[in-house]
Amino acid sequence: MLRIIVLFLAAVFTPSLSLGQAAGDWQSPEHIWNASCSYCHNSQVAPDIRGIPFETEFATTVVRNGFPGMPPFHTSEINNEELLALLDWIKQAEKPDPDEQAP
Amino acid sequence: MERRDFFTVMAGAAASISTMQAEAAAACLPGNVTRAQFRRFITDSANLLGSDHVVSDVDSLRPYARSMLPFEEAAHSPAAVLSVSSVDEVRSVLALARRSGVPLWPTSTGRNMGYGSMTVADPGTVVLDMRRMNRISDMDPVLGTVVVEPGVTYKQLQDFLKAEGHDFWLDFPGPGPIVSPLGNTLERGEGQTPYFDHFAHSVGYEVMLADGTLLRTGFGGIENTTSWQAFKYGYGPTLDGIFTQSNFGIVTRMGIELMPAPEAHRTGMAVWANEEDIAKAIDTIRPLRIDGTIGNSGTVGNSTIIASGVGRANLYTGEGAIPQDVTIKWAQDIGLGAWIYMFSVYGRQEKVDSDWAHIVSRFEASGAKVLADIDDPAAYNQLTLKSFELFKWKRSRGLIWFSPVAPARGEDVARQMTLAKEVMSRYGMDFMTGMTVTGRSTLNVMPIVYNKEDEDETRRARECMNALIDAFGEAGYGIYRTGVGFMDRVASHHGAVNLDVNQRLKRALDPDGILAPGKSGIRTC
Ligand SMILES: Cc1cc2nc3c(=O)[nH]c(=O)nc-3n(C[C@H](O)[C@H](O)[C@H](O)COP(=O)(O)OP(=O)(O)OC[C@H]3O[C@@H](n4cnc5c(N)ncnc54)[C@H](O)[C@@H]3O)c2cc1C
Repeated sequence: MLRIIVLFLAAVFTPSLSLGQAAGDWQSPEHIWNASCSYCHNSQVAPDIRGIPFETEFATTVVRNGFPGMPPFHTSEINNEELLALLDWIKQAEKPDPDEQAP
Repeated sequence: MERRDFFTVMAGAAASISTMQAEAAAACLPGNVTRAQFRRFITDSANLLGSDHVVSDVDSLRPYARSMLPFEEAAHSPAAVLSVSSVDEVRSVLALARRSGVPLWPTSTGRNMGYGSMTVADPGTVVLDMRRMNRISDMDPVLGTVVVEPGVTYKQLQDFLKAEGHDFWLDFPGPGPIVSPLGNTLERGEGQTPYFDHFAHSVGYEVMLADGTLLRTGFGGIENTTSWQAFKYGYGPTLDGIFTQSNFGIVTRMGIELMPAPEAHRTGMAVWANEEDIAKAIDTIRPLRIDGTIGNSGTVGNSTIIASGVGRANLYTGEGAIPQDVTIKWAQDIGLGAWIYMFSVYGRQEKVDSDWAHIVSRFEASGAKVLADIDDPAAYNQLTLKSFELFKWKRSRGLIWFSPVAPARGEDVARQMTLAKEVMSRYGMDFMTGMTVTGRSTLNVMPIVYNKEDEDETRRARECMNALIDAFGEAGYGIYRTGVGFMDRVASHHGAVNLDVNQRLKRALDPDGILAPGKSGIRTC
């Protein structure tokens, strides 16, 4: 019975809980990358930054304040913990295949 | 320590931190609010929402004061930002705002880029950031409607529809993946499919008024309503419109009509070679839009906007505004021309084929050539941020949208072009336009792209925008939408009686002027 209830609750609540794009909703750094960053940084709109050993402090300033052509991302969207994990993930990600193109 | 004591201690700590933060922010307090009242408001907000959800120290506020508009940050900086997660929190914050007199500016995802982003009309207003309210509900796969909260993004909604296996399309603006259907619709924004008019395809709003009353527009007020998202107009006056581009309420939920995925679609590009062809182009497009042959509004672009991704410095290094001839020549060299029109047709395959043939013959008769099967992702439900290539023009963050409306008559659109080019060249600003042909009207959306790091250029961009607003107002043209810092001037051209009626509505619904003072030029007095 419990299993059925759990499955039922998962069916009812999963979509909007799992796919939110606000602080605390993100499932993983990769989720943030795919849902936001990749639309520019893996689509030839902005440089692909995966696998580049940038300074975390500098990157944090850029993300929080924006950059020419890039809007700021505030703490209600990506909290400090999520941002640090994202920056680590980007730095450690494999360098992109030059032929790869995103969404 | 008992659980309750723990929370009391934490709340006290949060309050004292917030008080220190409030001291720091005291430089830009809202109009009639004393330092003590503001401090108390911040402390109470932190106790209510948690100090993590209250931003009020000068350093942390700085990113919120950033916008693409040509103003000093202090002129439109919020005094604080409160991030709410529920309707109850909105109501409680409103109660605090009424008590202290601190005004609130609601935002959804706060990406009103080129119109002010998260900045406010009157300095000292506090931003009510509703991004964390991001629930999707009431999906009706039969009627094709869904209800969203302010923080839901187009990407989140598209993921939801895909995960649930619904075959509906969304219509999104340029920055689709990272912005809000609700925020965009409240600005009466536009996209690229047959559902391009977002206000027209919104149905049933839930709105919190300044006194905490929760209104549901349309049939949403009926107990056990069966038709909130099925019928927009309701009974008596239709109210949805008064909550768009306005400051009469805080919209907490909104219904959206979803477009059934069509069986087939096809996108093309009509190209007119010369600058003077614009009147002919508009007169050819208009009847095809009004009778519905062309299914989406499409975009008419000039050669300079098409060249934006190439970068200005690669095309022109001379003084003043870039001459149109330079980008026209560039466009002609790559097989395009002075004007392009991206358009799409939708429906069953036979309809798409027959509409396509008819359109091509009309365009060719007007002297255009038609390029078939162009990839325009936003025209077929593909999220993209390709529109951000606009910033490659000057590799800068400066952008003002000047967005007048023309009747969709060739002579009017040509007149607007002449007027815009004349004013822009006076200030050394490059002329670009990307027009939405709605049918009987044309939203002539002109980006003024400038270098915000250059003080003189920023001043010229600001003065240019002011001059454009006046010149177009005096010529009898209205403006579809504008950004903070320009709202009073734009309102002044739309009729004293119109503004007065808006102010009367404002006084009736928000007598203390708590909500977004100055939005669209509307204040209590
Ligand atoms: C390159 C580029 C391309 C663009 N292309 C387009 C385009 O194709 N079409 C288009 O329409 N726009 C376009 N924009 C402009 C803008 O970015 C979008 O319109 C965006 O959707 C607005 O931001 P948002 O959705 O986060 O709304 P928000 O910024 O959250 O809201 C906008 C305004 O609406 C009001 N508001 C928001 N939420 C509420 C609420 N809950 N209650 C009451 N009032 C509220 C406030 O006044 C707020 O300032 C473009 C911008 C750029 C930079």
